Amino acid sequence: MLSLMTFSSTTVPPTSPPPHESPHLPVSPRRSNRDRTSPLHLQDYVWNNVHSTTYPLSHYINYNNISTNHASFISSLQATPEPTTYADASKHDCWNQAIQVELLALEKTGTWDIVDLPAYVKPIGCRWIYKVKHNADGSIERYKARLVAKGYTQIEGLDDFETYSPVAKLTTVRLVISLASIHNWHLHQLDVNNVFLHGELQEDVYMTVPPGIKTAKSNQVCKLKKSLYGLKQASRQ
Amino acid sequence: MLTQQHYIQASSDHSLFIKKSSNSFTVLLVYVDDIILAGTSLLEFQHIKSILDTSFKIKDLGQLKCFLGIEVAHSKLGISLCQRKYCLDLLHDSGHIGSKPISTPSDPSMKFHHDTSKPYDDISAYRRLTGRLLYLNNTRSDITFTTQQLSQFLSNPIVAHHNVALRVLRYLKSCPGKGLFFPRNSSLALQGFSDADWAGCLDTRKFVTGQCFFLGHSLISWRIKKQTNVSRSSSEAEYKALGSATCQLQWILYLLLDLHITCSKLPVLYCDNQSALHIAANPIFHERTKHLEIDCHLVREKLQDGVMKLLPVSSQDQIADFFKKTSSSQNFFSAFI
Repeated sequence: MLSLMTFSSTTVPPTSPPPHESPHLPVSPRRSNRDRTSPLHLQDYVWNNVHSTTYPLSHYINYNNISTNHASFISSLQATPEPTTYADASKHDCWNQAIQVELLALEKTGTWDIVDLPAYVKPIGCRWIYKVKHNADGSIERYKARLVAKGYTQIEGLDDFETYSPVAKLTTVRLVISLASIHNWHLHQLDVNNVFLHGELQEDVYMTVPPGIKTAKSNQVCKLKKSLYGLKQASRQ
Repeated sequence: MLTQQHYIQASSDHSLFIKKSSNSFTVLLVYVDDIILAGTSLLEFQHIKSILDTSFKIKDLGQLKCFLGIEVAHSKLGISLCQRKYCLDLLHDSGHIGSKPISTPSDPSMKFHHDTSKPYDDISAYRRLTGRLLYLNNTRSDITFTTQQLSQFLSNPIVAHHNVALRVLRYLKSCPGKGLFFPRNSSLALQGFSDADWAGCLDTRKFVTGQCFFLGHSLISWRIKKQTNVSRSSSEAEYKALGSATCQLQWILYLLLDLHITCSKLPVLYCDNQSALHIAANPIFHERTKHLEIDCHLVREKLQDGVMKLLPVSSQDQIADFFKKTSSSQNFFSAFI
């Protein structure tokens, strides 16, 4: 009898507490035990949502230890947000001006003709990219808007045939510099502005009319004559 | 448009334009939107700049200081190239700016191969790091071997490979400003070194070949490559290495021809393998070399045409070897700062 008692007492696992040992524990409300997952499209980002993180970053950093210059630089960065859509940007005068400047430059180089959309052609899209350019001290240098074509919708073989860009081989660069060193040549450097806007297009590429341009008829598109940022052909020149 | 201004596009590199007139010589090198001008006459510079400006709207940046992230420094003794800023940015971005410097890029006893040990999780980070190290190869020949080895494992790196990449970063920390130096008082003799490493790739038993070329004292071209097919003997591998080095030498000669530069001496290709030299010299058909036909004919033909000459070099003086061996050495490279 005694031996049976000891046996049964050892079989009880020591970790399992007896029921109702501590009845005064706070009872938490019942929560759904469904698996919670964040949306797929947010998986690439670290998103600092108050509800999603236990320790939001904003509780632990502040601007107190940053020098005044740096603080004013950061606040100026935050003070002028960069719009992502045309609808956002067109509400502000500064962005409208930037768009006009870019459109003028594009017209000056004769980038496109506005034509009726031919049948069986699907035009590629375009969008505005907005960027605030800052000076070194954090003050705003200018507002910059750039029109880019959505080149990723182009189909190889149909819209573009060759995407090759002329680059010098680094060996050539080293050879020329070493020759310049031996022969005491002058060495200068030039930089081409808006390099992509000088390439002539051989293919017929149709692009939707960018927002900000009024056309006479509704179904008109831009037939590109020069290459534009974002086109697959852009780097070929 | 440049051709209207009597610039001739070089056939060996299509982004190179050359103008030679009675009193001036100008070279124009295009890298998408960056242009290098080199030449004897500043007048011609002004002329071509104004012409380019009217049709393209260019920005004149004056003397060549920074090109594609390569910093160029001029002095009386010569010109030096380095990627110091790029290197420091790389260290900074990878979070190893505070790491402890080390004197060699990798452990000489380390053998790279695939194995079943723990794979490295963040493959894209590994690829990114290797890619950035590859770009650093533009001026750093000392990490070329290690980067070549690292890039063999882009598809499935293991933790050990990543540790080697981190060691390269620690090595870079010790000398971020190292680069190439092109001395002014250098001769115009082209020298090449070629070497092969016996079964350098442990997984496929392919040979790894190395080659480098000097114009006078300036290192202008180097390369390390795993051979495309397996060789049965070291002389066969050395001979194939010689073949690819001959191709590169020929291309540099074409380039020099386009630039109207004549070498002061016959180009020399050094090789430390006697039997490879014998294969090149003797047209004796041999049972063990009968499958080497293409490379064989290439090297032999260039030799007979008098394009270059082959010379033996002792293994101690073999410079191409340095790219393959990962040991550090003090006597390496007068070309280095």
